[in-house]
Amino acid sequence: MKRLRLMSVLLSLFTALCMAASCANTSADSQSTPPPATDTAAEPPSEKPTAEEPPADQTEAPADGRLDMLGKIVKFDPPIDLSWSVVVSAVQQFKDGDTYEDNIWSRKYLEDLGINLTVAFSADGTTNAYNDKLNMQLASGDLPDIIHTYQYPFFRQAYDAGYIADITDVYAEYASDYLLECQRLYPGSFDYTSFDRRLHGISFFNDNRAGGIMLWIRDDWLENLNLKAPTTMEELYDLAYAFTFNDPDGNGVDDTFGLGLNKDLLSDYASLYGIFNGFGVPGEPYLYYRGADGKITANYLEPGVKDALAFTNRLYSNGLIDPEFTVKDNTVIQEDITAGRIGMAFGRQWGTWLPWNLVLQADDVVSRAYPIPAAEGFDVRVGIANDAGGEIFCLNSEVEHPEAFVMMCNVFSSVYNMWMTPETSSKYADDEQYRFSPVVLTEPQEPLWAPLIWDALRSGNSDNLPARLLNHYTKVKGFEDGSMRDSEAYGLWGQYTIGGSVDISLSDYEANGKLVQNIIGARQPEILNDYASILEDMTKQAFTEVILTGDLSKVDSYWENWKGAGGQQVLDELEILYPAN
Amino acid sequence: MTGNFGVRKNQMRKYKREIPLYFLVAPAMILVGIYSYGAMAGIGIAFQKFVATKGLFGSEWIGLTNFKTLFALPDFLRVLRNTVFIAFFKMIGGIVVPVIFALLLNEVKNKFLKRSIQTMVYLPNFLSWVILAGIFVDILSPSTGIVGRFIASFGLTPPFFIGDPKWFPGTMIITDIWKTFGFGSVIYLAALTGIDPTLYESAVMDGANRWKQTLYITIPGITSTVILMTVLSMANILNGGFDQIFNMYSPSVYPTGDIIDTFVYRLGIQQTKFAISTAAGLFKSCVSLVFILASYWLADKAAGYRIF
Amino acid sequence: MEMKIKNSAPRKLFLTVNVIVLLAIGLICVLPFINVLAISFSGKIAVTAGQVTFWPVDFNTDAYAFITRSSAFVKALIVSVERTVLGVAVNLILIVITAYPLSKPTSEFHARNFISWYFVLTILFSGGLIPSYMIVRYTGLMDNILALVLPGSLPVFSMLVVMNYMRSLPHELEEAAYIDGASHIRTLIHVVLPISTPTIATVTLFSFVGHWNSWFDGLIYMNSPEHYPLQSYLQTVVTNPESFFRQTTNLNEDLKTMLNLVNSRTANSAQLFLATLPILAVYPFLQKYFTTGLVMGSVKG
Repeated sequence: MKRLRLMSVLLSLFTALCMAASCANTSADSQSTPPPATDTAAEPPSEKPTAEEPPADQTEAPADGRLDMLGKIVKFDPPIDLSWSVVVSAVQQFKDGDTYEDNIWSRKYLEDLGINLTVAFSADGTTNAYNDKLNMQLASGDLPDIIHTYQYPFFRQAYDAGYIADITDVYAEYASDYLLECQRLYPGSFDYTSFDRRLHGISFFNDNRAGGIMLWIRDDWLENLNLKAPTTMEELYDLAYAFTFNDPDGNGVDDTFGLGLNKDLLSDYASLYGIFNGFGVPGEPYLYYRGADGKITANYLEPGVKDALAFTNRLYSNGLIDPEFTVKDNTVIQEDITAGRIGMAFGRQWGTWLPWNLVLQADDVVSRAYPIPAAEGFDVRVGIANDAGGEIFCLNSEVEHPEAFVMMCNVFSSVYNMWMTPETSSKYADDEQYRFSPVVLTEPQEPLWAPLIWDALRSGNSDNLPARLLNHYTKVKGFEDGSMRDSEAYGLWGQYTIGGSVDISLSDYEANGKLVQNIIGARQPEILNDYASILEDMTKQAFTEVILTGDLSKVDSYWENWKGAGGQQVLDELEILYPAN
Repeated sequence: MTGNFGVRKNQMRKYKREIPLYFLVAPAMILVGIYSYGAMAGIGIAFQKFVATKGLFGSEWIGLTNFKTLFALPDFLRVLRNTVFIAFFKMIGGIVVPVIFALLLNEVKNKFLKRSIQTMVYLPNFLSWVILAGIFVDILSPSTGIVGRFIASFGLTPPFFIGDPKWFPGTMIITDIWKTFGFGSVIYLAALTGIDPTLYESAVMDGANRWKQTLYITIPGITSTVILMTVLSMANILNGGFDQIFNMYSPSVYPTGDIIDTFVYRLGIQQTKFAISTAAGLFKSCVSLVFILASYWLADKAAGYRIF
Repeated sequence: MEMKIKNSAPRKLFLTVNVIVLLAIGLICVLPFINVLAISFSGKIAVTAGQVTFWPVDFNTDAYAFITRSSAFVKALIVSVERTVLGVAVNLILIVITAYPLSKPTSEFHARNFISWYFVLTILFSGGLIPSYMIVRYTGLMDNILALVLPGSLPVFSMLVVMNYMRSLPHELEEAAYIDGASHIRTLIHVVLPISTPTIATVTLFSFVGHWNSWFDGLIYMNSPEHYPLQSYLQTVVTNPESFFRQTTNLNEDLKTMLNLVNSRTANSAQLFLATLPILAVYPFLQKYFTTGLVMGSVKG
């Protein structure tokens, strides 16, 4: 019910913003607060936003009801230096000789705000390199001015050590109405970065309803064997069997496996989550929630864990899972999927972006998402993360002008949002260009956007869609009618088409009450900071062992060890932190 | 008087002559002072509730609390056991294999052949574990690796050497011996060439055959070197080999393959438990120090060896 | 004096078997490299199908063309060469000027024992990773190639080897130089160094190998992947093969088309082999010094 309310609020906001955008388009007055549409319509660099002469009334919402996107802007003169750290990323590309220090975003911040960005360090985000480097800097007191982290424990520790600036006051003074509206819509995210009600950073805004796991299968293997997607776990077993032994790729060689499994077991794709979900265990790295008995419990304490692991062991010992899975990480799984050794794996709703886009590229074969099949005697329960959480951006307490941080957030969201035209998008966002910005604010897209796109798809009328959604709509339609085959069209189609992955999340999982959300939001039990990684290590080890040996008594000893190694304390603390009402 | 004065003058000259020697050692002393002793001060973190902003001098001192936390960690005993197990067998293999190899090689009289074999077996010693890990991960893969295919050609199922906790420690031990035995044999080869040839001459006179000569002259001739190397290697009892294991392990082999150094790394850098991690490192250093001092004392007693 | 022993038949058999066994052992030490070399020169498909053993199948040099075009590999190679040249030079100078005074008897250098212990203690005890990191930062060496050189500027073990070697030299030589009025520096350069070739050669090799093979310091002290030395770069590639493809595929279309010809196994093999090459080129030539250089330096008391 809370969801529904939130949804209606979002929709009304959306319509308001839509109106704002269309008004802005017709409005000749783009002087005071240029809404994004006009901002990007006129590209020449000479066209400057109003940064230099900040009118005092800028924070006031304009009279015509438009939502202010820029907030209070004061350009620094002379420019100030701010350092940040770069997560070297998979898809990010440099355009025309850009560098981490000189790119579309750094130039924009320098022009609009007088902020000169310098790079403290850069490191790979897919290995340990980035986190290790940041952690070393925490130990030695060498953190950059703008700090970007994936780890809440790091954020918490840096705060405890006095490194993180309190931005509550500058936020109140400088934040745009848009940001304030986001704060109203996603209170969890703001709680997440607050200590004692004082704001210490911005994290991604989340709405995780579309965050559940689903089953991904390539079309051609099903067709070749004349089989259907499974609706029960037994059918999944049979399908995996057929995929392993019945030569689904028709090359006459026994070179395929039934189900992809990642050595990390608990990770974003080819993980165990899907199997767990089918056995009534909401899968996520860690999930705490109130169980049927009214007590807070953890997902891997569910009795279904045994059945799920026994099932996985059956897959493994009959050769339906790669016997080498214990050394296959994401990247190797990707290779296997690309090479057509794996045709089915669990994954999140963005499967058509990665890794299944690789199958489209390699073999021109479409793969699609299916709901998690249920095991006999169990209800499917799909775990999703708490809406608090995600990447955190915060400010070093030594920075002289904390308002710079809030202004950067304003500038970022004034460019990067729903109304972004394809041109703006290709300059500021595509190929992860947005990662060149030291602060990244993203609204949850899928659960908000999908219903609007479906409406347009059903009615064939896309007139009311904002620029970015229109782009999505065009791409989805284009992929459907075969006129577009590029990876973006495919990626978007997989998510936003009717019956696509987001549809499964919202119309099946959410509508049928299958979603189980993590109870842990901003308030983290102290002990979890200390033990989370130890518990996770322990879990992976125990599960790997059971899959390899089939010895279910190991689950009992795991439960015991888990509670002994701090798990029980976590549960106890959670009862206090999140009391039942 | 004059004589006495002369001695004093002599001594003065001698001291004066020492001055350049101080200048020679000064650069290294300064650099070592900064980078080794400077870092050693950081050991203090192990006794603190360390907060980075407060630094080493501002953080609260909490005595042995970090050590208590460390020893209470469920993984700690396991890690200690793995370390000792892996290090112990590496140590044994690291003595036995080079000795046997040196004995066999000593029998080869053809210079060219001897030289070629040496060149081959020295090679792995000079390569980093990064490279060797890359190579081993490839050749030990049960499905695609050359070793796996070799085993499979006998109709056997190749074990999963680096992914299976049962096989992992053994794989680490064998690959480590493989890397180091060639170069390790240098010292025994030297000891073998150092054996007095007249001993063999008189043995031949007494009618001893080659086997007897080996048994009664060759082996006793290198025994002191073997004892010495054994004693010295005891210092490595907690050295599981970070470079090797870090580059080859995965969570699935933690039960048998996680060693103190990798544990310290994960604890310290990945989980930002700086104090506990430093405590674990210090624990290792202390135990090692005891073993090192004991082994050098033993080496001095048993073989009259001194490091300087 | 060589003994002429007539070999009996069993003895001959033993010698033959012995040589065969030793050659087999030698082969076990090099075959993995040959396998890697063969993979690096083989076609992608043959490699994936597991057809390559010790001879390339579908011989080609695509993998080498691919990695030498990737700027990441070449950059890392340059960093490695720089650090090795600089590092070995610093190591050697410090080893020699430190070992020489310490090789003097206590009567000629009174602080000798104290200073020796000062150095030896650092082998026994170390501050650990985080304190070391802080020192490097406080001395302003972050992201600087000197961070890879200065913290280990004096390899104490090598210094002890050289020191012991120098002590084993006949004392008369230095006496003579001293009587001729030569300074310490002159004695060191003109008398001691020339006859210390074996030990200097040995520790040079150690330093060279040490610097060439170091990877961990590069990962933590460098602030961007472009400044990683080769082994640090390889470490990220070995643990995460895809990251390499990412870095290179981002560059240009040309490399993207090459991706059709190579895969992570052939490319990795080529990189591993190239990183091994300098070592292969150097150590066999220094081999003859090992015995004298190392043994006299470490065992002589």
